[in-house]
Amino acid sequence: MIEGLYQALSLSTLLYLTLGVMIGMVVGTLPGLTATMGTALLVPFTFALPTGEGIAMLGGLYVCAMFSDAIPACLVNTPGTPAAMATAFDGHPMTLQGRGQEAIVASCFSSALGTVFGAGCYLLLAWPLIAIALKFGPPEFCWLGVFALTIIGSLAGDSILKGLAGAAIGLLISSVGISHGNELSRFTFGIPQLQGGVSLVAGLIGIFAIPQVFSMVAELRKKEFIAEYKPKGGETLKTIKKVLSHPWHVLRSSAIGSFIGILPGAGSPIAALVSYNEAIRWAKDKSQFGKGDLRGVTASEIANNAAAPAAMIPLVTLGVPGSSPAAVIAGALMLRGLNPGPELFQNDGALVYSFGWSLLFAGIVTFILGSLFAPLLVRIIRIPLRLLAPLIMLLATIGAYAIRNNIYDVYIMLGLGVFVFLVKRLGFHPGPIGLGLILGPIIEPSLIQALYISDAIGIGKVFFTGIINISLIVLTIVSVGLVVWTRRKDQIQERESASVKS
Amino acid sequence: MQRLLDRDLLTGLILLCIFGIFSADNSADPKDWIFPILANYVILIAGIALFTRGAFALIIKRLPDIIHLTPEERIAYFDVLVFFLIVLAYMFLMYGLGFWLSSWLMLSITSIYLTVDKTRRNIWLAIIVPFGACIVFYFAFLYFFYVPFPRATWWPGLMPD
Repeated sequence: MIEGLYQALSLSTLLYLTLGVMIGMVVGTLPGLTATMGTALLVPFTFALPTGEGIAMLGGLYVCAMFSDAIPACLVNTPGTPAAMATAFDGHPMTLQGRGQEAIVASCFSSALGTVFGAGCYLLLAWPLIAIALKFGPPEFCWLGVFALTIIGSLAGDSILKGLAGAAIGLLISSVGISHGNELSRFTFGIPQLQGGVSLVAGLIGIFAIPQVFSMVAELRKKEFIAEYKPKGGETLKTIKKVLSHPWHVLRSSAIGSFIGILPGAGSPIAALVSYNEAIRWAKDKSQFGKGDLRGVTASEIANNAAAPAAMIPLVTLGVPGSSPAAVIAGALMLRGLNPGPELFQNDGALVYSFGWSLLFAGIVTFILGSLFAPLLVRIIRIPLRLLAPLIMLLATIGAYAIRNNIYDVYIMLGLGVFVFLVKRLGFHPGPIGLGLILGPIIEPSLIQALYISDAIGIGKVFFTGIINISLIVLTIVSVGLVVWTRRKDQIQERESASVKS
Repeated sequence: MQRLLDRDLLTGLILLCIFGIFSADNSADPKDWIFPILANYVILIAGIALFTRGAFALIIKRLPDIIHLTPEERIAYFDVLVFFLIVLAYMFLMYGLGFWLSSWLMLSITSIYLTVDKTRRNIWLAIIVPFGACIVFYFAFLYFFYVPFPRATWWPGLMPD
């Protein structure tokens, strides 16, 4: 570990890491450009560099992309990557209240905290944590996805029925294409281009960005800009103090992000959503969540950034990438003749630890650069809506097209955008629809694999035995019960206050 | 007709339509369909519940939540409709005109349409800012991110790819 630290602290490694962070800031900010794409594009540039510096640069890009996706999420309600979906729920209302700089600084600092915690887990707890992660099989992943679905209760707004229907619509959209079981075409309606399914990124852009663009167009006769720009001095320090004033919240979000990040296939989006839900559950005052509560932003950003270094743990210990960018980094290592896994740990442990330290330093560099650029970035809200709305539409089109170079992804993005814009007027929240779209590809393959296993040993034994399954089932029931109880309590309070007024 | 614009009734109808669309496809193997079928039944139950709630409100003559548009909202939604039609035209024209020319046209036309105060300065801004943006995005996405955008088929070779 000390030798790894020495390698990570070399000037050239730090310089390349900083360059990776700066590229990551651009990649994460542009909707449609994911951390995976950015990492993959950067790999060829790293061939000319020594291994340690090359993967430090890739790690820097990955870590910073997990912060910079919060910038469009907060400013224009358009998550830069799927992991920032939950950040937008409170980040954008903060911008509308003139607190855009606070939202960005909070995202930046939270990202740094999460990254440092996740990197700490990588450096100190890799092997114990992976022992737990290995106990997760298809039924456990299925229950984890079902537990994550209970977030609907927090996102559904006034109507839980519409929240459930929205999540079901998202799950159905994720089912379009080839099935996971017998590879049959589903819901393609004879259109060959739908065989590949609905791209997650194009879908999320359609669900969040396009309705936002239409809303900007609808509002521009009433206001010229998204929100008031109120530059404030000393915002960075004040925001840092506010974030640190909830230490248990920070620890809990970091732990959730790190744990979920280790599970291969789970990833930053689920970590952010589960952390957001737990932040609401444990908060004494829940009334401001969804309306500009700082804890909503910090919960999501701490978790999605803690998940980033944690996703490297299964890569370096077992050779199994924990996320898509981790898979790209695995490819970069293999191209250099290095096999990630126990062999790499034994033969070149200094490189493995150097990477962990680089991820930790990437969090710090991200915070420094993010804080410096935050006042500049917030100025985006000073672009008049008549110019901003078409520009976001162009970026969304490029983003949706760039994923698979398929124009049908752009058509699907626009179609989903129109649909969500219209149903928002009927009381639907886009959050559950996005939630269904993200969780569908996680729950369904796990469900099918578990059903195949249950053919041999019975459904009861597969789904309802084992400490992890039972824990997740109990958590799900408690989560649903809390939602029902909280809503009932709110309804009784509303009736009482209405009768007092009359 | 006005009753049909009730929020719950309309939502219920839309959900029942979605259920109908996604029921049109199925096969014998349960493992391929159990997941979407479960999701579809959730939509059906939510649709029936909302439709029934709207219908009950109608039957017992309580005033339902009627959707109606104010004159300002009509203008706003008309703006959205025009914007949407321009974007739709852009998505089909990009294969003829090439991505960047069609993008610049879309940005300029929508910016000019959305400019409420059509002074000379604002019109020029609506033309020049999109032009500058297209140039920046062209270099960024083509040369750095290697995204192969649709080429012009109406005049191949004349426009940048």
